Amino acid sequence: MKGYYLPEQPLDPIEETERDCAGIPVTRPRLSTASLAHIADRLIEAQKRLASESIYKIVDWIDAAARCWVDPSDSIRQEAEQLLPRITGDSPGMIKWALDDLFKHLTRPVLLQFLEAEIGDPSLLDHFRLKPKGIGFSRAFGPRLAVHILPGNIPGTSVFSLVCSLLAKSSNLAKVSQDEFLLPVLFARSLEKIRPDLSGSLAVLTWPNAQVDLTQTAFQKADLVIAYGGEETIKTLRAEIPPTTRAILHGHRLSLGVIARESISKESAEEAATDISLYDQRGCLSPHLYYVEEGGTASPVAFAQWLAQSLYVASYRLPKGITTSAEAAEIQQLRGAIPLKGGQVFPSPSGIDWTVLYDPDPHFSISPLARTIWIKPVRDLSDVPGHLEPLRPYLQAVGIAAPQARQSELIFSLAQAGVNRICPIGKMQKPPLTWHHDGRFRLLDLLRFVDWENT
Amino acid sequence: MNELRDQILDLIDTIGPLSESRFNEAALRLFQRQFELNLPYRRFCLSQEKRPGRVQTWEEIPPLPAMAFKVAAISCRPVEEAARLFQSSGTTGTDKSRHPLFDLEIAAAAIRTHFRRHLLPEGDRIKMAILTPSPDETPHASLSFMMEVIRAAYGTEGSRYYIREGKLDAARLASDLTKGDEPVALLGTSFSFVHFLDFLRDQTLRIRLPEKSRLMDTGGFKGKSREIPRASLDALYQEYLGLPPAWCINEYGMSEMTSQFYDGVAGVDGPRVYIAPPQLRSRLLHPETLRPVAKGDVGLLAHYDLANIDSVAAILTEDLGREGEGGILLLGRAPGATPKGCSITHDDLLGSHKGIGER
Repeated sequence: MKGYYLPEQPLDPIEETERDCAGIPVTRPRLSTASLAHIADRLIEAQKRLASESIYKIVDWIDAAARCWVDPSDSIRQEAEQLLPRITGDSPGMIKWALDDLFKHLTRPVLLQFLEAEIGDPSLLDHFRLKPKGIGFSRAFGPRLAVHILPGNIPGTSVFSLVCSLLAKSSNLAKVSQDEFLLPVLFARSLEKIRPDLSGSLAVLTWPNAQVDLTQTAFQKADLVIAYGGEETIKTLRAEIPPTTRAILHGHRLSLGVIARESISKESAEEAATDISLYDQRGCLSPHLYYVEEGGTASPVAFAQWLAQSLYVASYRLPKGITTSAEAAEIQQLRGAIPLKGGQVFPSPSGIDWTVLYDPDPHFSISPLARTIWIKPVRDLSDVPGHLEPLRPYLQAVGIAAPQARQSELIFSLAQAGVNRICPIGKMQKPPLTWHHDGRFRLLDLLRFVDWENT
Repeated sequence: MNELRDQILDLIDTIGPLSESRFNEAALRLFQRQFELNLPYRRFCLSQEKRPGRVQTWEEIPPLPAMAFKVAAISCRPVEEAARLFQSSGTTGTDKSRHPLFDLEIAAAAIRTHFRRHLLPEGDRIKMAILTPSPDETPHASLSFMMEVIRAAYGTEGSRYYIREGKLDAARLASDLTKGDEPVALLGTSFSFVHFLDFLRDQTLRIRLPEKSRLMDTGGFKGKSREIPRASLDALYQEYLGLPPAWCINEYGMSEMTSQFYDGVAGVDGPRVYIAPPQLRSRLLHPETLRPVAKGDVGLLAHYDLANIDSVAAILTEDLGREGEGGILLLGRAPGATPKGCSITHDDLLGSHKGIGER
């Protein structure tokens, strides 16, 4: 299959190479700086077509593609369901859940809500509009060409990065990883199926990170670079971005949960198990740890036990994908060592399907992921922000279970600690489209506003 | 105890194949001792439902995860009485691995005997250039201890250390290596050799070491920004030092173990597999179930080092390996896998803060 997406054959035919990916022969382009520059130029040219389209028509376009994706009989959806588990190692059940959850959020009513939340009046993207306060008119323009360095198949992130930039009426050159190319490629194909006249504004390509000259070429053509990756990746990319090109860089992040003493229950354990099981904890919204408050009728250890039971149930509802040897090795170390420092381990009865690590030491611990969760007791909820201090730049979401009366204080202290999303436990993996990813506006940050002062 | 100690010293000195029963007997006796005297290990064994008497072969002795050395005192004797306390640099200040050593004689015997077989098969003393700090400077580094044992036993008078205060004296090393025509043994971490090779490249220096010179490097590049594959490193040794691959031997060890593996014999061409001394055997376990893997499959390495007489002999590592001809093949920690997803992993957050002379 084609491991890349180009809207139409460029003037010079692209040479392909073939590579095996999880037993599937996948072709990819053999790019040169000249051919990549050529592709970028054509994307910039195609952007004119997109820029002249009404924002409401663009919303319709994405909506129609999303509706195909939630239709089980759609051929692209079927291809995704069949191939994604093989390529990503996620279980088929998890892939189904993730695709449904992603694309039901990309329908017209939700997209319009998103546009309004971000810029107020969506027609600002189509016309100069009278400024509500101040002199004259304003209109919003997106970048001509956005280059995306995509994180692979954590589904929401890669697809939504492209959607935001299409809503900004930008052309998109996406670089995907060699092994996790599939979802962006299929998404581009579904958009082409609906509006071939607009899909000239999309290209999904892959090249080795070592070919820095290609990355430089792409960045030189771009008005905006949007990149996702670990600290090393971000550091390397940052060095290649020209000073005149804007950049939005999303590093890796981590999340956690907080349970008040009044809210320790089997129900909250079930909710927590859902947050842990979805995406096998690999998302930046996945919890590494739960701080559980002491002094309630049920203890933090009881919560750990209930959580282990709930993870057992969840393993049927949302089957686990493949665990890497490195993850497994680290999990085995923890399982053996934690009891020796006064902790308790509640493991899956066979293998390493899940592991609950109860550890009386309240310092934050990073989880090896793959359904491995730390439970740490705190004397009082007010102790939590102190433990988060070393992680401040990395904090994303906190799932909470606490009585209404105690929430406002807790929420304020978490917000001050650097957290940018607080939600009930059980909802950590289901952020609304209007969520401020990394605490930022997702569309507004892409736009350039032009003011026309006519008096 | 003295009888067991002699038995293990005998094992260390064994030449040629060692019978299964001799290893087994010593291993079971040592297990009995460690189960009785090492309380954290006993707790671990009981959690695995294993105890002396119910264990018939060394393979049934439960291997303690190496991480246990970070969270508890893994010792059969009071740690305050240790002759040396080795600490490996953990990823953060709080999780240093601590391995106490009480019996210097056994440790030195284990280190010397296997080193000589692999690096000095001719048996003569040799001039050593050691690319680690000296044990005076880093008393808690197991590698510096090992180097001093080797230097004292087999080094000639001109032998010396080339790392001081965390800095490799590359200029002095290069100048010493270009003098004289007696063979030299270069010993150090792979990472410090890379520093030295960088220095030679920057100075456009090429050294032709005298014939029968040899090199032993150890430790990988875990978490280091520049990871160099073995074959490229061998090519660099040849280019910059004039050392053919057959004279460059890799050592594999860890601060939680007393014995070492070597992947060849200096000057002898042959397949590269890590060869254990008689007092050390290993098992390959499935990463998910910890059951033995099928012959030829990749598994987590569990080492049974009987020279670990006062701590714990059976250790489960995070290293992946496969059985090779007469030894093991090491595959590192995560073969070719980049962590997926966008959540933070240990490597992301903490990286590795190992110094230049550590492993």
